[in-house]
Amino acid sequence: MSVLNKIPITLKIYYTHSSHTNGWPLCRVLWDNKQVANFKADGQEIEFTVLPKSQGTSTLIVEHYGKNVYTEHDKFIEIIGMRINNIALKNILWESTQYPITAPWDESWQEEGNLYLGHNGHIVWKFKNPILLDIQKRLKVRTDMQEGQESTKKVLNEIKEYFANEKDR
Amino acid sequence: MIDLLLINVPRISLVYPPAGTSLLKGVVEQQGFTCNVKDANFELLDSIKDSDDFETITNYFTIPNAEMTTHCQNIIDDWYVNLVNYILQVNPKHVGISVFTFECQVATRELCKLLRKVYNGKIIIGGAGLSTTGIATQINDFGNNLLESKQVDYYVRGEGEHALIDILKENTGDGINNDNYVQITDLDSLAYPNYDDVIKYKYHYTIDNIQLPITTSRGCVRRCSFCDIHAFWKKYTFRSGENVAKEMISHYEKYKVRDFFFTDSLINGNLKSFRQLTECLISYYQENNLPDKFFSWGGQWIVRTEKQLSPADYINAAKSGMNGLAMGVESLSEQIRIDMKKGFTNQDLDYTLEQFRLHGINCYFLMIVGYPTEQEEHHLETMQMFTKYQGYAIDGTIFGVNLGGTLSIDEGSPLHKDSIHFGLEPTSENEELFGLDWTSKENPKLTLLQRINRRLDLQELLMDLGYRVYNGDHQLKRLKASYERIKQNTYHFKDILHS
Repeated sequence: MSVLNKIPITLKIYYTHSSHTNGWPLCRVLWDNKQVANFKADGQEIEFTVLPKSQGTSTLIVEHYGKNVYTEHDKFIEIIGMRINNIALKNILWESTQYPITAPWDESWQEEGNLYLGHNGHIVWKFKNPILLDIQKRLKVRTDMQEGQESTKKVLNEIKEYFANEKDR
Repeated sequence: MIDLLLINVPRISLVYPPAGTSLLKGVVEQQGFTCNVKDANFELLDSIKDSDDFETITNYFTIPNAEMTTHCQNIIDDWYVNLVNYILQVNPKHVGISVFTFECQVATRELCKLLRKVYNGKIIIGGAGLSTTGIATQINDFGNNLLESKQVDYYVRGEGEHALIDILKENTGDGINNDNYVQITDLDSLAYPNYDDVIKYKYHYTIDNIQLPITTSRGCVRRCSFCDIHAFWKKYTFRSGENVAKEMISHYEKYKVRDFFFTDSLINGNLKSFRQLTECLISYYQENNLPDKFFSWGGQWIVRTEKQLSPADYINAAKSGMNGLAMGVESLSEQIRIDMKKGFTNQDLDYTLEQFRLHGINCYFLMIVGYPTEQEEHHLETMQMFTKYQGYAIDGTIFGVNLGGTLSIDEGSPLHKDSIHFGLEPTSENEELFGLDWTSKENPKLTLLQRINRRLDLQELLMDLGYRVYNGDHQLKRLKASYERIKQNTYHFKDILHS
């Protein structure tokens, strides 16, 4: 797996947003708790590149902030798509949790698969590393092989070991 | 008494009905003769449930001097006896044995020997396996050998459709007991295959449904330097799209089959015919209130430019049900593909993959590692491009990669014919240039060991990147076996003959 954590991946998030009333919605994106984007949501997409980890979990957070809940009722952003290395995340987009920021006197709550950020708050997506193989699995792309057609690391390593000891005649 | 009994013998694939014998049945019946097909290959190999026995028995048919157990020998002996008894019981005027590849030679030879003793009808053999080293070789070693030893009455070279009729009518003709076969140019005039005799078999379909083979063309529009196809199919001949669509519809109406695999070297060789096929299928769906993609069909595909195949063509192809395409990409180094005369650029490949992704068409890469001009930088370029294309493997647009067993020099290919020009020579003197055993004077660092190591590196990378690498275990074991034979100086053309 050594190769997988040396190749940067490009994330593209597609969104819609409220119109310009008292300014555009403000957003920032965090990858593994580091800010990778901070922008006015006045377009349709935001793109950035990150270096994935080889193991463990990676977290993507999209945060909506700076909304005055008393005066800016209509301000929102909504995530409508996401691509990693141009791979559409399809069902994975909905495998997320939203954490709105609520007033201290209101009960806090969270919601699965809600991509509409009307409150200040954030949406979290979690990925296992290597991330692309996790995406492949979650997209349910078939990786099994018909009997007799397999390629296994076991045989590959055996053959590599054999040829490692060979020299040109 | 029937006129002709056609038999498939081991070892051929079990994944769908063999195309040739059922096609010949259709053609023969069109001319008023009676014909049955028996897939004896399937009957034997499907009955073997133990994987060790399966390997032993398939090795017996395909590898010279393979180890054999008493138990497996008994299974094979019983199969021969039962097959001969079946033929005697049916008692056809002619028995035709399909020698689909040289891997069918062992079974054919033994069956002919046994039949000759007890069967009074005529024995015919035909197929690409009459030659041992690829379809293009001019050495018709197997056919001549069996004819000279009087084990058969006729061998058929080239296409069998006209030759079989000639045998049934007059016992002589082009390509019958001679190598002067004439290629059929009007494929639309041939009857559709008749799968009545084999549709009952439970083939090991790669999908959950019955899948039938369809042949829409013969030959190829490109002239890749490593390929021997032009030595056999001099011209590229093709059926009209309408004719192909009608055949698919006829199989659906007769057998309720909706999945088809095209056996052609390429399904988009003639673009007019290709477009006609997609349009005819879409019209059929619309006229019969059937959804898009009602049929599923795929085969081998060549990369085309945007000018040749527009986005609208891909939309129609996807609507008509095209999917599961095998592409001879061979190398992801543009320079190597230029050397191979593959005829497409990286830009063309990028465009094709993006169209596939947009329209939900998946594909499979066929690769060749170790082309004679391949330098380390080209190998690294291929690795980098596979990394660039990883996303297509992750989302399933590229559903598999077959890395093959490194470049083999096949007789009949431009590389073989012009080997001096290409600077290719056998690794030791007095040997024929053949298979994996070659070196390049122009690229001396590209030794067999180097080619194998690149093949191994590439598989490791692809597996790490999430590509499905097909058939790697088998290919690597064979590669090691071939390497050992080359080292022991037993890897020669004459050694792979079964005679």
